[in-house]
Amino acid sequence: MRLKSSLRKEYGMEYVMELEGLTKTFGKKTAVDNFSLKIEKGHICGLIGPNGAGKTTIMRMMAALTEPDSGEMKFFGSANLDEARSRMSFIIEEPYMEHSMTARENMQYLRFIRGVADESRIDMLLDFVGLKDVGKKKVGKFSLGMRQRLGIAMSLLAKPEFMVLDEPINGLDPEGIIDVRKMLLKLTEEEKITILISSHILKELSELCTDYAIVNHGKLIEKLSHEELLLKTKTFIGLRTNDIGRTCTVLEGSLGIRNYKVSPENEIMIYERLEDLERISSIVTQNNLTITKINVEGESLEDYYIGKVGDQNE
Amino acid sequence: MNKLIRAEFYRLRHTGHLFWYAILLPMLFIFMPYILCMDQMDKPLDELIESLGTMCVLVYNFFPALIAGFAGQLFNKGKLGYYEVIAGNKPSHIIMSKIFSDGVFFSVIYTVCVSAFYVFLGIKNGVGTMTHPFIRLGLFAVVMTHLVVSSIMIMMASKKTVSAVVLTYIRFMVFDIAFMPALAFVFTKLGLEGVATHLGYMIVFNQLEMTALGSIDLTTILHIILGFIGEFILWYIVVYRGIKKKKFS
Repeated sequence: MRLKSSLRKEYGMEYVMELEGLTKTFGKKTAVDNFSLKIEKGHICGLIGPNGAGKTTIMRMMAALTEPDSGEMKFFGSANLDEARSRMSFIIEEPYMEHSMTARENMQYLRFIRGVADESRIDMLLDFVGLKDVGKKKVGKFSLGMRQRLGIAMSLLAKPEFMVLDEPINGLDPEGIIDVRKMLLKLTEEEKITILISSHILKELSELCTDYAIVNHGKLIEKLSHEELLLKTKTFIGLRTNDIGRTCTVLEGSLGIRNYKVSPENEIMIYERLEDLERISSIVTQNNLTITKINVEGESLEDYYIGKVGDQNE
Repeated sequence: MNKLIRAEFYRLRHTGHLFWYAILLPMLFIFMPYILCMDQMDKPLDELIESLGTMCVLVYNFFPALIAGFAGQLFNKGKLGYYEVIAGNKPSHIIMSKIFSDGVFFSVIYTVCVSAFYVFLGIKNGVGTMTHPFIRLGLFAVVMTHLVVSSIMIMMASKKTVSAVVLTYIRFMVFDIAFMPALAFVFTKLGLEGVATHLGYMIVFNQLEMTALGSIDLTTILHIILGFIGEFILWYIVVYRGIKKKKFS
């Protein structure tokens, strides 16, 4: 389940990441232009933008792999970036792995580099990413999906509080994508990890993220929460039952829903409580109504993104 | 830093690189000198080493530097440095961990391999006029450490394999064989023979010859040790600045 607004209440407005006016130029090209972004604790923020928008450069600057020309970065409220980075993990471009070593050996090697005392965490994480049974197979013989999973396991080794993932689901098959999504959701739920993730698979991000930052030409075009996205994309819950009249009474009486309308095709379109799909479904059913259709409908993140970036590029 | 040293030894053991070193190093330090001086293998040690002559520069200078430097090149090529920096390690710890792991490993292996071969021949054929064998062995270890540490840091400072090999070639071949002697020549012409002599003694190639054949005195020992320290400081600054500026491939 997505975390969303409940998280805001739990953590308040504690920022894990604060980027202020980051700028980076390569020659005459400005890759990142006065970019500012904040991410609250426990949130999953999707960094969205076309190729060359500056997403990877932003992440590289966060990882200390590229020096910003100007701007400020704070992690966990601190400007001591070296100390803060030891509480973070990064998967930027291809994660570092020794291809002539096994998954376990790679984990062990990284455990030494990061100074992680607890060796049992290796098996726990290999199990978590579904690589416990690969045995002595060398990483060089792994599929791309297996390497991505190992990359995630390696990035979790030092119990990071904040993960920065650049295209972690690139090249994965549909099953792998779902697995990674489940893994990331589990991490935010169970270990309260904050995640900044970039991907071109927007449908996947919309299943995962609590916030979105749309980037183009190195600039932040818009930052919005998932709820804001739902409102902006005029998303609604489409509901059909065997008795529309009585359903409306239940919606108003039991759930207090007022913002809805009934289409000529006898479909109820609910414009509020979009997070409460399960509760609405359950209350309607409890009132002896038969649901023939219930789902969230409207403009997708992809449509919204294309509208935004398209406007910029025109 | 200890965790990085431990990690580096772990990688060395588990990547299978040791297997290749076990094949390459005896070939380099035993078979190559044997083949080059096959007809002189019955001569006393001092004469044998003299016959090896300038081939020393390849056998004990360039090739060993290239092999040891491979460990340093992984730092950039394999994005190892990238992750060590991300893990929050200090540049000085990263550099010194490579010196105390790969550096120590190769200098010990080189010293043991080479000295085992020549000790065997010395026992078999006699040492000739050679004096102070143990001091020479110690100095040889210092020269090998100088060579290994410099080559590892040269490779760490290079972002690409080709540039790393070219830089190693320039440092251990062109610099030692042509540039430094030319510089010494210029100093001699300028009437600064003393400077020219000192410059000559700073060359790794000359130092190798001094440990095997020259007379052993305090000046020789100082030249060998100061040559090592000087070059170490130079490359340390270059690599440190590179890591600080996050110059990774």
